[in-house]
Amino acid sequence: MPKARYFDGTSLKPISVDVFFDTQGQVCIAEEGSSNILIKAWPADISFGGDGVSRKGFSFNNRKGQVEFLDDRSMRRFFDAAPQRSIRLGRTRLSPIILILGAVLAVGLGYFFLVPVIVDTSVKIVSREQERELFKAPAASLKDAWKVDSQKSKSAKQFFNAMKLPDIGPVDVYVIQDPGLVNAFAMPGGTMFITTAMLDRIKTPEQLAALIGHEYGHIYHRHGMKMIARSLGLGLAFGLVFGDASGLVALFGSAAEDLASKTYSRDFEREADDFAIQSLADNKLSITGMPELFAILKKESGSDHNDMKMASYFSTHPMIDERIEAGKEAAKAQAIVTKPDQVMLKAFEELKR
Amino acid sequence: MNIYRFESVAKGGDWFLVSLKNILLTILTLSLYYPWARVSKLKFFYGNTTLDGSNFEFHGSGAELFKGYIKFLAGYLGLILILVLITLSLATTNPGLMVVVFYLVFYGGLLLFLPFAIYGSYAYRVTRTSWRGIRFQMVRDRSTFIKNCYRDLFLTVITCGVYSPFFLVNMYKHLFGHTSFGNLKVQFKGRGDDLLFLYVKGIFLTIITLGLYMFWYTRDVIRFQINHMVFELDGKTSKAHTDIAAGDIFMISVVLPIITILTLGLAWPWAEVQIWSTMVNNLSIKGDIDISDVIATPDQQAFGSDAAADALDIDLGLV
Repeated sequence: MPKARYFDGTSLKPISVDVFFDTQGQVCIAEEGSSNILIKAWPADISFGGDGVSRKGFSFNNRKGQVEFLDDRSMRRFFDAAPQRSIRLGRTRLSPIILILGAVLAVGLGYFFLVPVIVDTSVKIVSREQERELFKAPAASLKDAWKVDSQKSKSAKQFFNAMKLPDIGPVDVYVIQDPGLVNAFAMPGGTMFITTAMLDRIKTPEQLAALIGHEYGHIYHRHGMKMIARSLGLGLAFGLVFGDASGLVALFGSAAEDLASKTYSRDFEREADDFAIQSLADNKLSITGMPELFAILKKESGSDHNDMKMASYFSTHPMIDERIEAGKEAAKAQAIVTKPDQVMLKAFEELKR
Repeated sequence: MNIYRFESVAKGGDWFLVSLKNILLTILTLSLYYPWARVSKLKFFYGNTTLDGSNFEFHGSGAELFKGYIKFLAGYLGLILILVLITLSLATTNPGLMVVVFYLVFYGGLLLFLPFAIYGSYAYRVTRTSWRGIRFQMVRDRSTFIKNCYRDLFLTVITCGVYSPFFLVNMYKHLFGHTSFGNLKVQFKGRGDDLLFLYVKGIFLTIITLGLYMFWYTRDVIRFQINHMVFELDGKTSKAHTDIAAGDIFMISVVLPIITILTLGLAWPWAEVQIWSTMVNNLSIKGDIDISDVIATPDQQAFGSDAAADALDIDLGLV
């Protein structure tokens, strides 16, 4: 029976004790040479101080006091000789693991669902006028950097004005002379750019109306501002949660942020498509302009194959086939279709000249 | 005279394995394991430190720290939200003012938070530490500490740092003066002007010796911090004492970092243990106090009591 000394937690005067296992496997501490048992404890209720701690004694998880053997070898020999069922010197507690997994899940859910909601709400703090002021200079820089066709820009603006679109303030439409780049985009604040290459491929006024409706949908729903605020919010969220982690986590976080941004952007594209479809319907123009426009984009993207479906999740824009199908469905359901009015037709002809 | 020596029994290899586990779990849980890793570190270093042959023990838990982290994150998020609102509202109307206000709020917020972090961290560690079955205790007076800190921070700023030694000494006096171990009281008897003299002398000599004196300067500052800690028990006193030398400082600040760099960081656990061991192995308590005369005070005798755990006790590892 190894000798040890016991500190009872009320004074630092040691009590000489004997330490032994009883028949049930509990650790017993008795006054030296006496049968007076001071403490009985299961091995699971004993603390050895933590991982890597080199000590010659132990304390208790649920009572005060501390037992010290003569040396750590004595203690190891004592516990190595313990009855089999009592050899369980530490408990693996599930609660911290569950807590951590739950927290990871909560953070993940919050990151992908809560942060966008918070960010979108916070964008409302910036008024449309402030947004316009904020992006006035960047839009002007872009306009200066590219070659703007002022005559065609005037026609494009006339076409835009002829469309009955919800009024949210001044909108500028510019046509950029670029025969190689088939593109159109809208900047936050209400500036739209369309390339001449895009206009060359558009065959009907309905297709142009679909394009302008789509880009105006981005402006109307303030997707640009939300994207910027979203990036800022994601960066902050990652900085908060992952700021202390290693480069591996930072890389993962960066990829996840990129993924989340792309997913967010796909939702915006769908929202802009819906806006375009609605604006075509409101103007009683044929919604077939929408799927026809996407067919043009699909041809330009060089992919006539559905095997791009696998890459769609990693693409900024939703799969074009999905958008064509959505447009066709909406066109089928359209009740009233009329021809574009004279103002639209004239503007379109001038654009195609 | 009674002399009680501290000793570190920590091994670099053991700490390497523990810290490896901590790093892996922290990465896997996207840093959420960090509170448990922090507790694991405190348990390791405290548990491997002995006084008069008996180990200290750290009783904190990761769950406690995790709650503290949530509170900290909530406060931090609040600060970030304020900064975002400032940015969005001033960006278009007055960008110049926005930058000024942004930095003022950001650094001001951090400075305001710092005394809470210092107090919370110290209180947390002290009240979760025991030796031979008796826990250290702290009499809580957070509001006085915070008030004094803000006052001293202000004085430090307006004196361009000259007041900082007095600030530090006031902090030590408060924190140590409110700490006890059973019926053993702790005091800090250092003076701000003595520390200021050390700073001035140290900086001056470090400059004229092109940095060589830095090791002696650091030694002097550490000796000042430790050698002015006084323990009182039933009219008897003992003092903390450190024999740390300039050579030890050179090893800690130059040799170990070089070894760590040359091993691409792998030697860092051994370096950490060596730093800890150097500080601890030079430490002792000398004086008239017989340590076996220490008894737990009545409010310590209940298991787990730590003078009413404060909701703001958190250890972020910042200080």
